[in-house]
Amino acid sequence: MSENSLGLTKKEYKGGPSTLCTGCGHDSITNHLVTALYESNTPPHLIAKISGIGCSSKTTNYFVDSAHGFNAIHGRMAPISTGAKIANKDLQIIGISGDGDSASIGLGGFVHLLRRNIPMVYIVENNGVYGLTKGQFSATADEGSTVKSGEHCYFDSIDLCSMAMTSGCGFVARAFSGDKKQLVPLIQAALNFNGTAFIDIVSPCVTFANHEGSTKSFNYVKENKFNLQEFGFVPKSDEISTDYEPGTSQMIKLHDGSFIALKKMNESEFNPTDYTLAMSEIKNAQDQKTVLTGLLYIKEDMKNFLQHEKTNTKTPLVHLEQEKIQPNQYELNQILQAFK
Amino acid sequence: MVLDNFSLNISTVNGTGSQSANSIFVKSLFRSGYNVCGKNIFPSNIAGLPTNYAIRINKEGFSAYEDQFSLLLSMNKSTLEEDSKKLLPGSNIFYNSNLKLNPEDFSADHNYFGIPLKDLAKKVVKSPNLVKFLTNMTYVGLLTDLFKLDKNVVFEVVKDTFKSKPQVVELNLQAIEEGYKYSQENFDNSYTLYTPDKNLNADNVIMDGNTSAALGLVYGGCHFLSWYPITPSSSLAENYEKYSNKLLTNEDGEKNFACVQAEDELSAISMVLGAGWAGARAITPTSGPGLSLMAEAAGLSYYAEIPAVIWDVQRAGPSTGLPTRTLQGDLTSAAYLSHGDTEHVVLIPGTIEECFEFGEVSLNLSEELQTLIIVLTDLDLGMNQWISPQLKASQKKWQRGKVLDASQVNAEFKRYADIDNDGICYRTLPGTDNPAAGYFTRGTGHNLDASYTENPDIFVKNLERIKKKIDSNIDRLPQPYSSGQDNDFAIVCYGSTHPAVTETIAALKAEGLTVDFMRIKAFPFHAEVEEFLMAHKKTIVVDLNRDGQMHSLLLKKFPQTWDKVFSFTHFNGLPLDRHNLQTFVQKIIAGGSHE
Ligand SMILES: Cc1ncc(C[n+]2csc(CCOP(=O)(O)OP(=O)(O)O)c2C)c(N)n1
Ligand code: SF4
Ligand SMILES: [Mg+2]
Repeated sequence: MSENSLGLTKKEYKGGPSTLCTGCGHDSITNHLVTALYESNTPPHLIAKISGIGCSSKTTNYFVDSAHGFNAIHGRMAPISTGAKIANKDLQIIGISGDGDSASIGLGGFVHLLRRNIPMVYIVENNGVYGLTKGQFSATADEGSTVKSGEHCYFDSIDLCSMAMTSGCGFVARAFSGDKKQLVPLIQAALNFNGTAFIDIVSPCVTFANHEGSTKSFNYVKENKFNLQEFGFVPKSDEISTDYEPGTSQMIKLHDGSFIALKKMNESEFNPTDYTLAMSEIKNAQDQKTVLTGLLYIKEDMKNFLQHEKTNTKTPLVHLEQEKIQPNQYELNQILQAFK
Repeated sequence: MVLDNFSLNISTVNGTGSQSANSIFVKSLFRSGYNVCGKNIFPSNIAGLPTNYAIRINKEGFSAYEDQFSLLLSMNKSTLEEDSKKLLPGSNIFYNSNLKLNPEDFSADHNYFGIPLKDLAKKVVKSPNLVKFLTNMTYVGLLTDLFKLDKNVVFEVVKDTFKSKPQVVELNLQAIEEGYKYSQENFDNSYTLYTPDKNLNADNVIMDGNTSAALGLVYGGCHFLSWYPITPSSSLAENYEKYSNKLLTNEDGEKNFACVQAEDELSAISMVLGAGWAGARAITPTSGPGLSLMAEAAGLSYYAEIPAVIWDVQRAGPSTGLPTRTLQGDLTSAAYLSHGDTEHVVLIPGTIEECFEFGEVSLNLSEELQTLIIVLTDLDLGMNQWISPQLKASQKKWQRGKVLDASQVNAEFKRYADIDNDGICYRTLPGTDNPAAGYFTRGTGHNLDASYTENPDIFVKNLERIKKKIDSNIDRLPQPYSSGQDNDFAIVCYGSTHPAVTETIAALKAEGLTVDFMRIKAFPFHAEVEEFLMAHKKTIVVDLNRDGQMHSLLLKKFPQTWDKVFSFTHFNGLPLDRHNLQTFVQKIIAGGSHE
């Protein structure tokens, strides 16, 4: 069996058996995550899997069994991840959330995590419904789409990608659970990003949102998906292979020396470093109800939360023992002078 | 007449800098060797509304709030009538005569003295903005003369207060001098306070509980604090950050702590859970409305056994209530915060020293018991000025609880196995370099190895173990303070009512009635609490809330005491004044019973 550079097999990145419905998009995402983590040579013990509540949030139990996981409460994946990452900056946080979890009950936490730019991978497994509570609309359901009972959605969807961009996120992507070729390298790049890497993954709910009228069904996505680029990830140590011919490809260097290689798939002038262009493409896609996938926006030269002067905790806080940090009585007396 | 006890009320308008004037005067009394306390009775507003500052000086060391004053200094025309209602008959009112008050309208019970404080300030500066601030400083001069304080002591306090700004010092000194001079030239009705013990405060500090708590957290090993601004807890978080920047920052600017202003309390507590889960000592300060928002996460901490601390500086509720007034209204809500069966550990400091100590104590307990610890103080203790013995950094080792490192963990590791039979299980932290270390934390039903189960027996066993974990470790919680239990009657209180209760007891004693005293510092209760109640014929439980929350917790835990414990409540948003309590105790002792 093959091994990654840590001498681990892919099996060691797998988790417990899934209890989701057979065919659920979320399970495919889990599989792609396993592949990406394995191929990225991520040390399993440094992975912290954190999620909220929902079918999607259950999946933290289904990959990297040996890592610590935390299936917390509905809508709080973002602040819990924030606390965990600040406590131990060495952790590779994989945050898994749902569209209900992030676009409704956890919207505040979502936006503020991005604003702070907490270094982590933030995945929303987006099916347009609340799977776990049996199929009610979520806020990402498109206007005009229906739930299984036939009820109509009257409101515009919340587009998490554009919201991520306006919240200051420097890595914004959309993908489809069924597109391994695109998703695996996207996750790999996300793992190497120096800040929050957000991926909105359209992930059909086969039980409650795979009907005619859903804009997040397998059929709908397959017919209306528009892939912006062929996405490649080149790890730091690898030579850039000749596949990526200059001119047809855009190379984006990440902070650790790895590269994202984007190969154009069509005539569009799309460039993911162009904020305004990305915004308008997202809006067009939303209006036309197409599923625009790929790396939508990237901004590499941003400070993450732990690089600001106010919060630069170089040693992980969890390793700061009493002997190392407790101030002494003399210092206390100095301070107390002001209260005498 | 020599005054052994004196309460004065300074009535001002908020946003005019009266706070600094009041603090300077209080600190001058402190440095002169008086036993003094200062309570700011302020509105939920930034500028323009009435604020009162109550200062009490007492020879015997009592520091409770008194709702009756012997002197009113009025800088606020609109509240003069209200303010004078709380003034003992025959007392003097000094008022700012620039406010165009008409003494003929005043009640005949009091004597009136107008001073053109604003004019005095105008002698010092021209700018209207500065005049506003210096007007307040002039009354410090007036009071300095009226109370025959050593002017140099006051000047020193001013210099220390505005240390880095020599110009500000100069203006303030001049303003004080003007007030002082005016008083000397115009009034001969000074107040003769008792002769202070110059050394009384040599080893003391005068400070508020939030500052002390913040320092306690820095010294107690708090790695992480998240918060959402809310009065009266904000200054705890702000001071934590301020002192951590000083004390927990390396020379190269590297921080050995983190402080995050969260987007709301849902996030603030969730960040604490994330940090606690990852192995940091973490806390979130808040007040009642924030505590409500933290309820769901509180249950997660309890059931998934994640260390966390909430420090609730209580204010008067429900809802937004009286946001800047004091109450002990969150006790029952804290004790059972969240859904399902949750009975939390609640710690209740009652002094400035305890605010400091309980930082470390609460963090220790959160890690030892792997659960949420809620600390309850209130606005009175958190934001008012209390004299306290010098704070001492503890020499104790931080208790980090049962954490297995990579070398200690093996394939046998089960997160929720009660190996030591004390209800406390071993945990591992994310990042532990051993494949056996990982486990899956969840709020849903789980078995010993943390995997999902809805098995009824396992669920029951787990909840029972969690209860045992806390109940069998009560001895680790701060012990109640008690003065003995030889007498028939007793008073039980908690938190900031300590001074009013001890003063009541002293007053009763002066009348020939000895009453025992206990101050509870933790819930669930120690066995001593039950013994104490059983040992007395009648015990009065003092609560700063309408429903007698401590009283009902005691009855819940010790139902056999139902006919022995009596509830005294006070909940108007002001600190407890002993007089009502004293009357109540006398009535109960004289044979009064449950209505
Ligand atoms: C505070 C709270 N409110 C409501 C629920 C019920 N609930 C559980 S999952 C869920 C929605 C999950 O939807 P989503 O995040 O889209 O996940 P999916 O199941 O679709 O993957 C809701 C509302 C809850 N667990 N907690
Ligand atoms: S209900 Fe939908 S989202 Fe949930 S597991 Fe089934 S298919 Fe997946
Ligand atoms: Mg969903």
